[in-house]
Amino acid sequence: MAKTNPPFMSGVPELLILRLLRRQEMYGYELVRAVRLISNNAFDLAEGVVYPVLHGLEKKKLLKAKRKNIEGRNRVYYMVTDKGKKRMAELTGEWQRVKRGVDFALGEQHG
Amino acid sequence: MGKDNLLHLRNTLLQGGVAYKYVRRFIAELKDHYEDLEKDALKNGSSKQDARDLADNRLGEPEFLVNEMLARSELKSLGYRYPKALLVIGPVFTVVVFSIMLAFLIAGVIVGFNLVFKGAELAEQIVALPGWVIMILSSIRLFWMYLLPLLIISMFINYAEKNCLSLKYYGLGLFMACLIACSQYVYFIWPDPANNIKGEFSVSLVISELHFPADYFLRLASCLLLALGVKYKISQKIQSEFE
Repeated sequence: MAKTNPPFMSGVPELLILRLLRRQEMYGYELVRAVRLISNNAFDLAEGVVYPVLHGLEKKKLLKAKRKNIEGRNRVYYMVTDKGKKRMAELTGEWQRVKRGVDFALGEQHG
Repeated sequence: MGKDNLLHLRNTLLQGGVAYKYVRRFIAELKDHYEDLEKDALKNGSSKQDARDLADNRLGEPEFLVNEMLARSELKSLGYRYPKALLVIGPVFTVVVFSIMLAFLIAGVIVGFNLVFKGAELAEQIVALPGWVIMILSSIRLFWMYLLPLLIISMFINYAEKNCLSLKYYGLGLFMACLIACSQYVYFIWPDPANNIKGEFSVSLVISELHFPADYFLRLASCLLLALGVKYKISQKIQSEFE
């Protein structure tokens, strides 16, 4: 079957979120700070958009959500499921393929 | 992000079909996120107004956030995706399923009693039911006839109100469910060895016979009144969640 080409940026927020939550559970604000840190502030997005992405991933069973009361605040912590880990591997592969293609194209242009 | 903004956000999302569960959590998370941003800005030396402006700016425009939520079809409620199936057929289907389950429960209690306490070899013999078995069966009967319609109504109104679904969809379904649920009459004739009566259990649907006992209309009226009460109470509760 022919491969379909996903739009370039689709899957990037999912990939970053799955990668960050793979080792440690986090709540939304913590996650946004972590994204800023690991991406060296490369993504200047409205921070509220992280929640629709998280809810969508949870609905697809790629993440699990759990309420926790910490320091008097009830927060929703998210963590990756086994299905989420598989999805992360797929997205990583797709992203590397796209990145190689773009690197090659840029190299051709500059070379 | 002020209360008015949050209320507007909530209403737009619910009217756009996002499930109540996600709307409620989204609003709570945005509120927390806003507070965290404000707190961090104050810690870094910003004035109160600057901290609020920064939090508003970093969180994103409410319209933009709404569009991001609405774009995700997986977050839409079942009632929004299949309103007629869920809210017109759903209540009637639930009444039927519950009734069948209760009929099996009653049959299970009787069969279980016969097997455990009377012994299989005595199954044909008429034995009077002990008080506790009669109490269990009578409780199931009361639940079935008087509480089941109320429970189903409350359940559906709760769902529909929380998800901002229009009365034109669920009103008809609920009315039909009320008609059917209230028209179920459950009867027992207890076994009586002295008079050689084996005992009987029957369910009748008075609506199908068009013969209505006096309490039918009382049951129906109480269901419809309860429906209005639950609708009012839930809309009050939802309103207060954002105050």
